[in-house]
Amino acid sequence: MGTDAPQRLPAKAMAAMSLRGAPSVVSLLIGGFLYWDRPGLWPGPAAVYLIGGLLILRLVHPVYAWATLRYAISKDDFSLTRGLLFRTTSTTAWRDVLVVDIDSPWAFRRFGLGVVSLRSGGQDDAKIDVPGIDHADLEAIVGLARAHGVPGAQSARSGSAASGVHGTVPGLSDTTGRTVLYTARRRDLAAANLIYGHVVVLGTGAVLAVVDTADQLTILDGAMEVFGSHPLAGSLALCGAVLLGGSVAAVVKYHEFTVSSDPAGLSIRYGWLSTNQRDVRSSAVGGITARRNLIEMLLDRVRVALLTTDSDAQMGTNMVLPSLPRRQVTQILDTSLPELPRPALLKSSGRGSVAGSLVLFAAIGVPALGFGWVLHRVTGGALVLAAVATVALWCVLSLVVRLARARFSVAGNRVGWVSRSFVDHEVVLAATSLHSVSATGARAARVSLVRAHYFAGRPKTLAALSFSRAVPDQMGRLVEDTSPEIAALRRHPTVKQPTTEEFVHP
Amino acid sequence: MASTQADGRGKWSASGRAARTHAYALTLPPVALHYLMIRSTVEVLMTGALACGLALWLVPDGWRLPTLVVMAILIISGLIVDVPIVSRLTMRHTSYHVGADAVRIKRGYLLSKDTVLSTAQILNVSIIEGPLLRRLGLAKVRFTTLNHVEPLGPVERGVAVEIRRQALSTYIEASTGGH
Repeated sequence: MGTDAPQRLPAKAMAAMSLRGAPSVVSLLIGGFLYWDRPGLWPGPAAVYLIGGLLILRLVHPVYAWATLRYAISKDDFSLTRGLLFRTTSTTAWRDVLVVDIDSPWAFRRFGLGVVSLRSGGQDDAKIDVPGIDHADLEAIVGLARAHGVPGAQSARSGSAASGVHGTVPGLSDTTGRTVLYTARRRDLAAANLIYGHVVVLGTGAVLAVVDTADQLTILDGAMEVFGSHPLAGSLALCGAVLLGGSVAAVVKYHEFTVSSDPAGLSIRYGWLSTNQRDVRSSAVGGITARRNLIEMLLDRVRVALLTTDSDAQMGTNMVLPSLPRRQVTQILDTSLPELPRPALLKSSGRGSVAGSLVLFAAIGVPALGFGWVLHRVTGGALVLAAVATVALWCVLSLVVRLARARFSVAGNRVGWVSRSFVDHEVVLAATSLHSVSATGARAARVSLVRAHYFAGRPKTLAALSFSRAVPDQMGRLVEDTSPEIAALRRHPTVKQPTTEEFVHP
Repeated sequence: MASTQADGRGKWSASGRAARTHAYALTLPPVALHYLMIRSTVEVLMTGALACGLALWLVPDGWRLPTLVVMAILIISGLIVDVPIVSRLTMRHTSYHVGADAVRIKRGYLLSKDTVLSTAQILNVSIIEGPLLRRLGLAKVRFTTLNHVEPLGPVERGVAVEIRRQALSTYIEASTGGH
């Protein structure tokens, strides 16, 4: 258990940070050897010195980080001091901590260390990261944060017992005392990532990494010759490699994706090489989003994610339920998360939206392609210009269609926003999350552009057309009526001001 | 303020609700028209002078005179339209209501924008006084939330202070327990 006095990270944190940086050290060594062996390669012999400098920085960084970092745990707050010439001390009160992220990267796990992030807002300035903290202090941090309202206080107390599951950090693999809402199977993860495109991003990254390695090992030219002589087989192999690499990367990254809950809030845990746990306090949840793309419409699946004070990101952050059959999503939300609002997308089958989605897709795509074709003819074959113009027009038309198809609704003390275009997207916001509402329109007309401003990691705005004055009036009334409730939650800051001594290392 | 009750909360129930679809009770003071007209004049003349300077620098000799004539016409049109007409429309079609729970501002003639801000979400209220505003006894008010900044004014200096007090009253009451 930590004390009020500033303390260093354990010395083995240096070894963990060095181990985490080992792959890049190996890459730099290989690169350095290649440039030393072949000085004719671009950009020339200077690359050896550049790589040497980077290598020294990489080797020195763990020692520097360990030597210049101090942290102090008190019953009221947590302080972190970094830097040598320019020293920065960040302090956050436990009662202001809305989200606790605990990572256990593979290199740290070997030493029984973890990486903890305390988030009290949406900006990076409102986040404190501590890399390489040991079991006892991590347990103390998790316990204090959870005792002040971040979910899973029971698991924090029983963290040591649970740490054996991964042999890692207490609390990370523990769902004792919490209701497990959902655990993704490998095939669910592979299917979900395939459906909403993560597989392409991850798979392309994996393939590019392989290509880069082959290039460094000077076997790329040989491989290209083989693929060049069999273009069809080469293309199929490349697609297969992207899909396989992406699926494997997705399964590794989101391994054992588990969502659990307790009265204080939700916990999301996943990862194999690097295990992540994210505890979200209920008061940090400002709303919920539901989405489905064309493939999910056909399969009648829906994705559900939270909107929290610190983020509106999905997979890997606030995703509660990855792409799942609509009835299963409804069942999980009804039985386990009754306090969350029910998105309207769950009431209707996605298959009913397919025809409209395809029509809108064509209505946008045909003019964009036509414009690109005309531009291509007029400019006498400027293909890049035509392609850029096509994509730009497609983006503009997509925004116009999404805005035209978006609608606001008010139910109780929640505001709903739905846009049904070539993707279905719905946001349900608690009225207490709304900062302001505006309606802009011609004086004589009843049509107005309604905009609702809220905060989820960054300033966000929902916009929709309204064909009656009733909706913006209701939203304005809701903003007004919930104001006393929001004000009651606000209070004087509790963070103590750092003393002079806290800026000075012992 | 006329629309404030003794406990700091705005009179919403009847007049406030009705006002949402029309103008709000409070408008800019008559002296604000002088400010708006002077500001418009300065803006038009400064923009015109800058444009003329650029024209003299960049436009070829043969085109310089016609360009300057067009510029002069635009500047005169701006002074005729913007200064007396737009300033009066801005003045006439800006109304607001500041209560303990919400700030409501309506502005615009052709395109009307009606904004409602939760006072509990307001992080700060700024009162801005430039030399001209100070000379006319006016000030502008700026409401800042986490993701939105909404200006209001110009209004009389005393009214600006009262607006700030009222907009922050919800937070002050909540944080001091009403004491």
